[in-house]
Amino acid sequence: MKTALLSSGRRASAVRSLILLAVLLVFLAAFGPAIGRYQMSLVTTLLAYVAAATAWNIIGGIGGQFSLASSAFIGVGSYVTIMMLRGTGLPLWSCLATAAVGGALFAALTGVVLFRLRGFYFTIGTLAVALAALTWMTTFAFTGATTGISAPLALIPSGAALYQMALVVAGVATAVGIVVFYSPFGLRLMAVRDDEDVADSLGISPFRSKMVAMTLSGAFIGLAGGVFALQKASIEPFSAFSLDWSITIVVMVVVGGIGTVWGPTIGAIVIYYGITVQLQSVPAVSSVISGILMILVIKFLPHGIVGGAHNAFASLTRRRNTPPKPPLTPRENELVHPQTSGLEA
Amino acid sequence: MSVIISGLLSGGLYATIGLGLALVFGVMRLVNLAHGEFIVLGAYAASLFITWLGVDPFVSLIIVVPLMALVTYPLQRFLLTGLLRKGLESPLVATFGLSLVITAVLTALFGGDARSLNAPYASAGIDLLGTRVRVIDVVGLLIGVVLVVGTHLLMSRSRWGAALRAASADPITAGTMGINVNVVYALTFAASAAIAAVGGVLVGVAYSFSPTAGSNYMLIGFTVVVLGGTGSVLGVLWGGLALGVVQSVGSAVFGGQYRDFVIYAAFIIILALKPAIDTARDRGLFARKRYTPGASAATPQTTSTAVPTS
Repeated sequence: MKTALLSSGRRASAVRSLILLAVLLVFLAAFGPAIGRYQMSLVTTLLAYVAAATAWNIIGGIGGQFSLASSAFIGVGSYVTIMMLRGTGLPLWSCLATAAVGGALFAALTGVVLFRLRGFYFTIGTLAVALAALTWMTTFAFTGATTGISAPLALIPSGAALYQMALVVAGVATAVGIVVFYSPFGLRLMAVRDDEDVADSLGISPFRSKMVAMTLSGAFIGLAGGVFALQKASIEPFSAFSLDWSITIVVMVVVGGIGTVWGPTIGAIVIYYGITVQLQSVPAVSSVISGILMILVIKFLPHGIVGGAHNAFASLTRRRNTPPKPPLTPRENELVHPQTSGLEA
Repeated sequence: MSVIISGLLSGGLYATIGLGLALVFGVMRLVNLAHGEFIVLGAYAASLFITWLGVDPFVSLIIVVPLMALVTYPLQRFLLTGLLRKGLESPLVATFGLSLVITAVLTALFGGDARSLNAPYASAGIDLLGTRVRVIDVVGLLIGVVLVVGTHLLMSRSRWGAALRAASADPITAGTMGINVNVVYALTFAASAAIAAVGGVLVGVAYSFSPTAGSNYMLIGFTVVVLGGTGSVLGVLWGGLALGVVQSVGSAVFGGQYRDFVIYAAFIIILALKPAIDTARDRGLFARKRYTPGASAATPQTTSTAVPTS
């Protein structure tokens, strides 16, 4: 069964997506230095968001586990990076790599405790983890409590170096997202998302699948946190562990298209570049717009911009108003967005 | 002893916060991530009427409670009920978006600073069982008890309660029996928001509030709901009192700066133990009367099949 579903079409889609990713990365690497310092720092932040959103999509979209703990992983990644940079004198890259380890470990810990629970219990549990991590950090003397810590300026990389780092982080995160989406593991994860009991009865371990997804996701969100921290050089708990991170990441993925390959990337561009940056002077307005956009998208475009575009494209090419439910042949399953099956009552 | 008493007293407020969540969750299995923001919204609305009309915070409830119900009714009727059919994620995302909008609007209108509702009796104290306590905390406990017991009686004794329980147990059959399930759902949501407004005024007088405090209250509310046994109205009261005591004892032992941390940690521990508790309950231990059959997480129902078309 597994091999039958993993048709050559699925592999071909993965390869196509990876080629597109490679082209995008080469383009960004080539033109990055030409866009000026301010734009470059914006794109660096955007790339970190792309990494975080894509990573969240692995557990939240493909795995269907609506986690709000991202802010804790961002915070752990931030603090680990800066602490390593300050304390050990290791090269920058290895400091950033420890952020991935920190994020993964914390995510795994969260998963072990909370994956006994399903659905909204998990969601509320992750919210508690995020808030607990924030309040803990405000009293934790080792990391400077509310004052926070900062890295020596001499060790902070230049804007261009950071841009390259963000490019690598976002590239690897997106590549992992693509591979997971089209892999047998991704299919197992979607099976768990669509019906945990049935997946369990078919011999898939829901706990193990979710744990792997959560750990992967935590690692890349931690890495993104490391990039954010290096950009700021000095961090404190209220910003590094702010719940805003969790919120922003979820908004990006939902608006772009939850559970899709490119949704998180497109969502990150639309929300960060299209709204946050344009409305920098009035952050409240950009929050309101993000919130309303999120409600409208979930009401009218449940699979976000990517899903909406896909459906529009499908109805144009098939000359039908509504695309039919996907028949369960591997080929068709390939063409229609995977989440459309099994959700409608 | 004084630690226990102050814990029990704050438990009334916690029960009020949890009640609205329990109602919405018990009746339509909706997790309202904006409930904390409803509480904060209620507090800000009350603060406006207090400044305009110069009335007592609790008198302002006469206006704030119907207002909150009126504003939130269409939210459930035209937005959330339709999304309930689409599974778990959609209503979660929608209420999450709602909480984002409310927080942002409140921050824009009132600024990010914490404020509180002034009442002459806010800091007055009385002696209770040999301990000096604040009057407002006693009022909070009374309000919590009255609201929980009142809701319980309304649900178990009145015709409206019967319709509500029918709509919760089997929406489709209830629909064929002439109960307008969509209206019942929307009324429940409005009632939950109205209770949140009461909680908001209580929070405002006893402590302080800020636009971003909502997630904290929501988490308190969920802790109460889970502690009391999901779907049980009377359980909310026990859950609230238990959480109050846990927090009071916790901050007495570890220090006041861990006051919030104790709640989060307690919640995570309770959640981690929840599957074991549910199993024990299904085997007949701590059995209690339920309004919603199958409300326990050990026997999850699929909402997608249970909600009628709107």
